[in-house]
Amino acid sequence: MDGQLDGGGGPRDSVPPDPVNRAIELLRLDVPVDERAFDARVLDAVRRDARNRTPWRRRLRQPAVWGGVMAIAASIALLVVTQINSRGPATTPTSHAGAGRLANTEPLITTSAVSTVAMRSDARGVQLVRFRLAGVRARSITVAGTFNGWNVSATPLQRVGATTWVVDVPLRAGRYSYQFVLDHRKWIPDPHAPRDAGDDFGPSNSVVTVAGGNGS
Amino acid sequence: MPSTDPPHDVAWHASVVERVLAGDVDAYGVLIALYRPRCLRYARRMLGDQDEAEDVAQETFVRAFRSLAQCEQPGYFGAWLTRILVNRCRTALEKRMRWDRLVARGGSTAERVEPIEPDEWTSGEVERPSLAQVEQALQFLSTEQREAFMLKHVEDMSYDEMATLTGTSVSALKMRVSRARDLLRRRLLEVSNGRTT
Repeated sequence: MDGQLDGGGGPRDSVPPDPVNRAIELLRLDVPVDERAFDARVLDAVRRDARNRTPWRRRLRQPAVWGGVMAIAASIALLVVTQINSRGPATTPTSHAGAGRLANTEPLITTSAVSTVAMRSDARGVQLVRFRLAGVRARSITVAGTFNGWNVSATPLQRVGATTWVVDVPLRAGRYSYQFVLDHRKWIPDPHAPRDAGDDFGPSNSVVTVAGGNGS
Repeated sequence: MPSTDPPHDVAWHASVVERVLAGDVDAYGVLIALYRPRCLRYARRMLGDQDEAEDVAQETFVRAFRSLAQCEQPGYFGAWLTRILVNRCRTALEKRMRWDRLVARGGSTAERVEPIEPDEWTSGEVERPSLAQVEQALQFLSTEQREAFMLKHVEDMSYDEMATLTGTSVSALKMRVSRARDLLRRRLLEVSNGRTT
């Protein structure tokens, strides 16, 4: 009744192979698809759905939205200042400095954090990537990303100073998204690394690109 | 539950779902990547059409995201998602059956097929069926038979799990799987021998 996969269960050669068992083997194969394109398409659909179903009042309560608004405001202010500067010497140092302060409000995480990513190559094409986070107080910090399946426990950082943490991760060439995880609960992007596109309703991921190839 | 794929355990699923619920849409991409193969495989086998399967798989993920707060056991996200997937496939097939009489004929044919004995199987002289032949033969099962066969033999679910997921009794599911095997065997032999009905 359950359909064994051993060809019928009888002595060898006494019963011909059941074609249903062969069929099951074939049906278990993965369906070929452009995985990246499919995932991106589905995630876009999810974002659109979330956007359409989120009430405006709730949207306005989300910090990411205000971060986006502030970024746009800063860009506009910077543009205005640039335009004023281009018109001649009427621009005052004060107005320029004000625009700079607006621009600095764009990062959504603590400004006390400082991190760098350093790399060195080995002969096999694998590069050692150093993830460093400083200025953050936590009992534990890990890094989770596309290189470890977003596992929050797989890649812990070691404390090397009062508030400085590092971990070296061997990575092949490619583009990897990641975030730091503080005390196994708080996710923060790397404040000094590029971000991926993200969306209006959640923090975007940091991105590190290991030179020498495409994809992650 | 087999729907929680190793090596990602219950705690891992719960943490990712929690992250998504906290507003991190990108984290949902991890679940999409993990369950993409299952969703596409099941939808493709059930529907027999690649484009439709991708649409249904996408719709499954969107609906799951929309209802994620109602997932009572986030650690078993996979089982919950599979239930949505099965229902979406049923709905897609129901819509199609209104327009496509061929599928309906395949379902009615299934009820007339009698089990065949092992000695009636053709010997090793017959070529092994290809995936395309198997998928074609699968479409001659009724929706219920195909669903039971897929969940049991391809998704490796137990009859108890299937009963919980489908709301059908274990005995009825066993009967559907048995009949599905008989019909599929007959269709494959007919295809191998160059006969189609």
